[in-house]
Amino acid sequence: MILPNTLVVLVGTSTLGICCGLIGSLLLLRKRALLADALAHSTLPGIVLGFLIAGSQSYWALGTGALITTLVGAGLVSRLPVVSRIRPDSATASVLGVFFGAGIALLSLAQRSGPGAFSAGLDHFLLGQAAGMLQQESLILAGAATLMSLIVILLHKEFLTSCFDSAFGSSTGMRMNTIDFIVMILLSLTIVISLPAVGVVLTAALVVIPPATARFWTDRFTIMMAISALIGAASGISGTLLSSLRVDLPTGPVVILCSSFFFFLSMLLAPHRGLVGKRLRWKQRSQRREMLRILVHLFENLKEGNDFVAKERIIAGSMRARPDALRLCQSNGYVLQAGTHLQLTSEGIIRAQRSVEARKKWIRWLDDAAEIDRNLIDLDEEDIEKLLSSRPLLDQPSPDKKPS
Amino acid sequence: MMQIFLDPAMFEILLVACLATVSCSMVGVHLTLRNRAMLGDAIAHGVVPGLVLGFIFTGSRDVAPMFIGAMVSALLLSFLAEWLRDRAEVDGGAALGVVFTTLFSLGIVLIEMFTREVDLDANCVLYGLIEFTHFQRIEIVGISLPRSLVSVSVALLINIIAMMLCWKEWKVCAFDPALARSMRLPVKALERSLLMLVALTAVSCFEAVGSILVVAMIAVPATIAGILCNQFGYMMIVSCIVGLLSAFFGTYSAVYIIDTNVPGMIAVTAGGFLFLAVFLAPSRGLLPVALRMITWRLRVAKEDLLADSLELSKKGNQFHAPAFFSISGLAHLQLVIFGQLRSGRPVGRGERIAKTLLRKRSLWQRFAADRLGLPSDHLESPAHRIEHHLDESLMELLEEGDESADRPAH
Repeated sequence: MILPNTLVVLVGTSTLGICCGLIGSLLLLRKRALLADALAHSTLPGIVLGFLIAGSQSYWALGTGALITTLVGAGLVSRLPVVSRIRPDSATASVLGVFFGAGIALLSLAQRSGPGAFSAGLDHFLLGQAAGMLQQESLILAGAATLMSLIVILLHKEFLTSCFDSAFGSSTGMRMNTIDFIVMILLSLTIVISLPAVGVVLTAALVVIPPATARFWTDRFTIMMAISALIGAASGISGTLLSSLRVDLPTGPVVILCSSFFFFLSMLLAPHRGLVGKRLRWKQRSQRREMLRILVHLFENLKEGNDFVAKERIIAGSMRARPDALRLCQSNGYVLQAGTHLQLTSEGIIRAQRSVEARKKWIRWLDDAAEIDRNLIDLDEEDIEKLLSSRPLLDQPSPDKKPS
Repeated sequence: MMQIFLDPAMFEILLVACLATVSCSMVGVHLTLRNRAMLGDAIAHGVVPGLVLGFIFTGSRDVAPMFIGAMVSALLLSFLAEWLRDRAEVDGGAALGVVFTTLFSLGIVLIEMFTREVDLDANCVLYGLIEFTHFQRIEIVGISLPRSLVSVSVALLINIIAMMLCWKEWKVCAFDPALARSMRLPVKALERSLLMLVALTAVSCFEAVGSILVVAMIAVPATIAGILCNQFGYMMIVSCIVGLLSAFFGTYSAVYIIDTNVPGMIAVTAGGFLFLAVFLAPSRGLLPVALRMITWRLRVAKEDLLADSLELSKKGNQFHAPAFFSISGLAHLQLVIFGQLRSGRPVGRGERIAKTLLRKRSLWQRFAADRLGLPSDHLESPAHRIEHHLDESLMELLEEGDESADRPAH
């Protein structure tokens, strides 16, 4: 049973997840993921200044202050590496350290001599209090996040160009600087609206983790944005629900833990880039290579007149083939086992012949056409066969090739 | 300004700040050169679960278990981030971001779940309490010293020893890892030991001075040194000096001028130095570069004005002064003031300059036509640009080339 309060929080966190996921994928593709962290930290001086100037803890005063310093921080991070010899990474870290330090210094000023006490607000902004979200706050958050997600979706073509080939973009008349500026503003707005809900550090997490997760599943920009938004929303929802189970579970960190759960799950299981898939493919490949080695060995023996070769000689001895590769030969029907001896089937002979032929042709081509030392040739025979079947360039050696 | 040295409590704060800053600046240089300056911030957040677990397991607020926990999670963080980057092919920054935010959230959840009753809030972990340096003391061989002074000096000592032992090796790894591998250096082990040094420095400084100071001091002094220096050794020295200066001025202003948080003020001071370096650095600062550019453009404008007026006066045409508010207007003003241009024709030194320039122009045009084979309608504009850059030795070369080119023709 979901309480109405939890429902309010759910709306807020899920739209926030979508928005952060979309903006984050833009950052990840620019290799600037940690910018979000720096900008989140640079809100602090703005929050305190907003409080000192307005004299109250109103949402709008603090938000405006935060937005201004965040934009200044964003401008510094992107301009410093251009105007001076500063690496982008150092610029990010420097802005983070200096702005947060300034925020802390201002904060202790505000606590000691400012108007009224300003101690309660700090934790609120550093760690966020999603569970204490009011209905109005949640609606503002949801509205802003939806609006920004719409902007990102509408401008996705321009963002795509600016992420991958900004030179091409400016040659077609798009204003790349304006687009970069829009990205910065969207990012700053996202960070500022999500601060009260999830806090400084975890805002950065919401922007970094979902796109990094989506990157495991796809190589396409739009699909990546969609998956990233989906994961953002999913972690927002599951985190909120999980944290509503126990009183002492803080919502923000649980949302982040959910999204990092998705991250590590995808790291393992994603079909193309996942670690398990990679490992399996690698294993399969080396097994097939080993299988071909066995087949060729048996084929050579067959040509010398030995129809049967002792299994021992394949497994042990100078061949030292892997038993699982041998089993693969048998299950594919290339090799028959007769007692302790092995025999090539007719299919096995064809397979081995193809492999031997391919290798010969490959070596000849490398020698003739590419002039590569044949001792340096080490390519998977399977690859060679694929290459050869698609391009029969070897049967006619090019006439203009001079023998050296 | 000397009062800070006379008050023992203040002096201890200053000393701790200085020592911590120097250690951070030293490792900061290495991290900056490897594009990993954000590691300081990542470690600052990533140690939280280690601290909390250390606390939960021992149930005491002793330093030792928390220190060990923090070290373990700092190492876990840096190795996990490396592993994600190298093996799972995640972008380096994103890998760091994923790992440290995950660890931080884990730490916060642990705090909320298990240590509600005890006062172990994130604030004391995040900020450190350099202001209380004077009050937490331990006895070492009969002398009472502030505890954080001891931990910070040990960290600095380890840093200096490590830097001396691996100076060359780390330098090679920073600039050219491929060369390091070909020299059969154990690159992986070296990088790992550097990460361990960073973790040790960061963790021991958190406890003494708070994480903000560590984050800022790993990034900012090394960045300033990167702007100012072209050599690794100088970078190290400049980074340490900048660190020391910001520690001193930051502490001083936080204590005596505006009464605020010491680490925050040190970070702000360092930021001020960064600002100064970006604008005033002698070779790359924005102002010196702009000044050099303006001087150069002024020189070009002056030479052009002189040459133009000479040509015009030869043809008997009237020379018109350029618009006042422009580079050439300024150049014109200067020429008139220095008496090199009088009533529209170059005089004295001005005439010499104009003649040399015209000679350079014709030499270059002939060189471009004869030697480079440029068509005659393409000679004018490059010659106008290049004439300002030809110096004496180049002119001699061009003249020689001119003569030798002429000889076979005649």
